[in-house]
Amino acid sequence: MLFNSLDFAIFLPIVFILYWFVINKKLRLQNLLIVVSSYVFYGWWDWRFLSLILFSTLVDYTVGLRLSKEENDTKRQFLLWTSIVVNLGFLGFFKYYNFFLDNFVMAFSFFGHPINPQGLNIILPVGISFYTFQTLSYTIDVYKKKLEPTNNFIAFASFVSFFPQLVAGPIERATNLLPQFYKKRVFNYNRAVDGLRQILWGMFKKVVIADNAAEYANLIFNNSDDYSGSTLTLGALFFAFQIYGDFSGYSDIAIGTSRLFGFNLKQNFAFPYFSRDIAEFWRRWHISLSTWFRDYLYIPLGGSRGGTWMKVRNTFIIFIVSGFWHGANWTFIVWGALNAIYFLPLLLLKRNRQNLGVVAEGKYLPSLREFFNMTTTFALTLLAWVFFRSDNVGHAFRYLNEIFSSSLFTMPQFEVKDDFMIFNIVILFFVLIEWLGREDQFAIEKLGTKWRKPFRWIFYYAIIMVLFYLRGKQQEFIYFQF
Amino acid sequence: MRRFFKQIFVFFGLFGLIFLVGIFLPVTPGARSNMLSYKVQKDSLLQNVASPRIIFIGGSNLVFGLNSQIIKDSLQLNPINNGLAASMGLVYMMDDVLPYIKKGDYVVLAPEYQNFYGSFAYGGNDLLRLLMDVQRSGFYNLRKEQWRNLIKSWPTYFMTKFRYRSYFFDSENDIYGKHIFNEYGDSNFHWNRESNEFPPLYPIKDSFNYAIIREITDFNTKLNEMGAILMITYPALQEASLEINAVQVSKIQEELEKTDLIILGTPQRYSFPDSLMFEQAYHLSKQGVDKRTKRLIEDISTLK
Repeated sequence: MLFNSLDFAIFLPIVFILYWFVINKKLRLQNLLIVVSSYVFYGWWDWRFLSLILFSTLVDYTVGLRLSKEENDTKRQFLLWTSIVVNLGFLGFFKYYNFFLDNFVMAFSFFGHPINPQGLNIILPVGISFYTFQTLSYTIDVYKKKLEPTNNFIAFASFVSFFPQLVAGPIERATNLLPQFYKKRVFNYNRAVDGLRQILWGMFKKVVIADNAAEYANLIFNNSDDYSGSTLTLGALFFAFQIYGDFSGYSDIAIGTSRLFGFNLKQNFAFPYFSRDIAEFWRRWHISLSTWFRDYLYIPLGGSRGGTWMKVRNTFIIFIVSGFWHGANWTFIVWGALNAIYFLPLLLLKRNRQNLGVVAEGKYLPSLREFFNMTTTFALTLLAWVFFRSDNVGHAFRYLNEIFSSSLFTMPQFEVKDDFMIFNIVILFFVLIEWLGREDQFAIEKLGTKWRKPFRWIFYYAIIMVLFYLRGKQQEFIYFQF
Repeated sequence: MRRFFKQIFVFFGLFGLIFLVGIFLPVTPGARSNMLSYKVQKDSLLQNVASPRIIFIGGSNLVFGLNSQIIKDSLQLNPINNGLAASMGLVYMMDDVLPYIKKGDYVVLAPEYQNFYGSFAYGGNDLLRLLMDVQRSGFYNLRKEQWRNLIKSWPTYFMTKFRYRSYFFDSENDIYGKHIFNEYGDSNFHWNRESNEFPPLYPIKDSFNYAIIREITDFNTKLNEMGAILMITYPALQEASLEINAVQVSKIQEELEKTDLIILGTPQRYSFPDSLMFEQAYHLSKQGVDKRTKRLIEDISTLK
C-alpha cells in the first residue's frame, strides 16, 4: 500500500479508530491490531512475501530468547550467526542473486571460460532491506547484552512489522522502538496534531516535489545522449530534489503516522542539503541507516581508532557496503566509493566533526563561508547522484563527460510541462521553508503554530491545494526498490 | 481525543465544502471548447447517419488515426468515428454506443492496450470530465466498478476549475479542441501540422483483466442480437512503445484469439515508426493516418 494512495487514505482512519476507540483498553489487543494491520498493509502489495516477514520474526524472537538463556560463548555465537545467515540469506537471495550470477558469468567469460547458467526471475520483496536490518539489530543487541530479549511475541512482531516504517524505514533500533510496545499508549493531542502536520509536509515533498522532479529527471537521464551539459546538470539537480523529496517525504509520513498511534520514531533526515561538508551530510542523510552501519559494522571493524590504513579501509568498507545495500548494481558501489573518497580527507585531517550544529543557528542567513561550503557540498553530492541514478557506470561517465564539456555553458533545453514555471516557484518556496525550519525535526514543525487559527488553516489548505494542483504522475517511492 | 476529532471534523469539513463548491462551479471555457465536448455531436452522428454504417469505437487512437473519407469511398459504408479519449474507458464506450446500434451496422472496436490491464477500462479522469462537463445523464448508467474508479479522479477534476489554462488558452491552436473534427468525427486539424518528438509509453504494470475479454464477448453477443457485426482491431501504436509492451500486448492478442471474435490484423501490423507518428504513442500524422486506414480497409475487405 502506498502512502500517497486512496487505499491508505481509507486504511489509516479505520486503523486509527479501531486503535483508539475499540480496543484502547487493552495494550495486547492494540499491539495485535498493529500486527494485523501491518500485515494487511504489506500484503496489499503481495501477500506471498508476508511469510518472509513472519519467518524472520520467528527466527529472531526465538534466537533472542535462546541467547538470554545461553552462557556458552560458542553456542551464543552460533545463535547469532543463525540469525545473520537467515536474514542476510534472504536479502542476498532476493536482492543480489542475479547480480552475483551475472558478474560470475562475466568474470568466467573474461578468462576465456564462458558459462551459461540459468538466471532466476526473482521479485524483490518490498522493504526487505529495511526490516531485515531492523530485526538483525535486535539480535545483535541481545547478543551484546545491550538489550533484554522480549518474551512478548506480539510486541516483537509489532516491532518488526510496524506498518508506518515497514517498507522504507526509518530503520528503528529495538532499544528505541520495542520498549514503546510494552507501555500503554495515551492519546496526546499535541503529538497527534504534530503528526498530521508532518504527514502533510511529507505528502507535499513526495507528491509535489519528488513526483514532479522525477518526470524531468527521468526524461533527462533516459535520453541523456541527446542533451547538453547544462540540461544534464539540471537533470542531476531534479534527481537531487526527487530523491530527497521522495525518501525524506516517506520518512516524514512514517514518523507522523507513528505519532498518531502514540509512537516516537527517530528523525531520519535533518536537512542534509544544508550541510557544510560531506561528513555533516552523512550525519543528516538517512540517519537510521548511517548509524546502523556505524554501530554494527564500522565500530566492530575498529572504527577510526586504528592507524591510517585501518581508517581508510573501514571508511571504504562502510561506504561501499552502504552503496551496495541500495541495490545490486555497480553504480551504487561506485556511488558509495565516491562518497568514501569525499569523506576520507576530512577523517584523516580530523575535520569530520567540525560541523556538528545546525548551519547559521539562530540566524536568517548563512555567512559567505557557510554558503560556499554548503554549495560545494551540494555540488559534490550532485555529482555522486549521477552514479546513483544512472543505468550503469558507463552511462554515468558519459553523463558526466557531457556535463564537463563546453555544452555546460549553453542554454538548457528540454520538453517542459505547462506548470513548469509554477513548479520552479514551488521549489524555491520549498527550499525557503526547509531553510526556515532547519533547526526543527521537520520543516513546518513550528512554522505557523503561533499564528491565529484561520491563518494557520489557510496555510495548511494552501499546501493541500498545491498538492492537488501540482501533483505529479504517481511514482513509487524510490526506496521501495531497496 | 474529543478535541482532536472536533478539529479534524471541522478542518476536513471546511475543506470538503471548498471542494464541493469547486466541483460545482460552472463548466470552464476550457472544458466547453475541449474535444470531449464534441461528444454531443458524435452522439448526433450515431443517431442520424443513415445505414449502411460502420462505427469505430475507441480512444484518441481513432481521433488521431483515421481518415473516414477513404473508408467511405472504399467500403461504400457511412463511417462514424466515435473515438474520443482512452481514459473514458472501454466499458463506458461500449455501453454508451449500444442504444444507437441499428441492424446491419458494422462496429469496429479499437481499444488502447491499457484497457486490458488493471481497472483502466472502467474509466478515469476523462470519463469524469465528460460526465461532469458534457453528459451528466451518463452518471445514471455507471456501473459500480466505474464509480469506484472515478473516486480517484475527483481531485483532478476539482483542480480543472482552478487552473488558469481552463480560462486562458489559445483555442484556435489547441490540438485537443472541439474544432479539430471533420464531419465523420476524425481529427483533420493536425493533418497539416508538424509532428513532435515524444518518449515511448511506459510499460503497462497492472495485471491482465480477464473481465474485459468477457465484456467484449458480451458486447458482441448483444450486437449480434441486434443484427450488427462486431470486429476488433488493434490500435495504432508507435513501434518503440509496442516493443516496450511486447509481453503485455501478446497476452492481449493471445486472449482475444481464444474467443470467437472477428479480429482484424495483428498488433505489429498496426504499429508505426516514429516518422508516421504525430505527438504521442497512439497518435498518427496524416501519412500515418492514411496508412493505418488503408490497412484497416484491406483487413475489413477480406472479411466482407
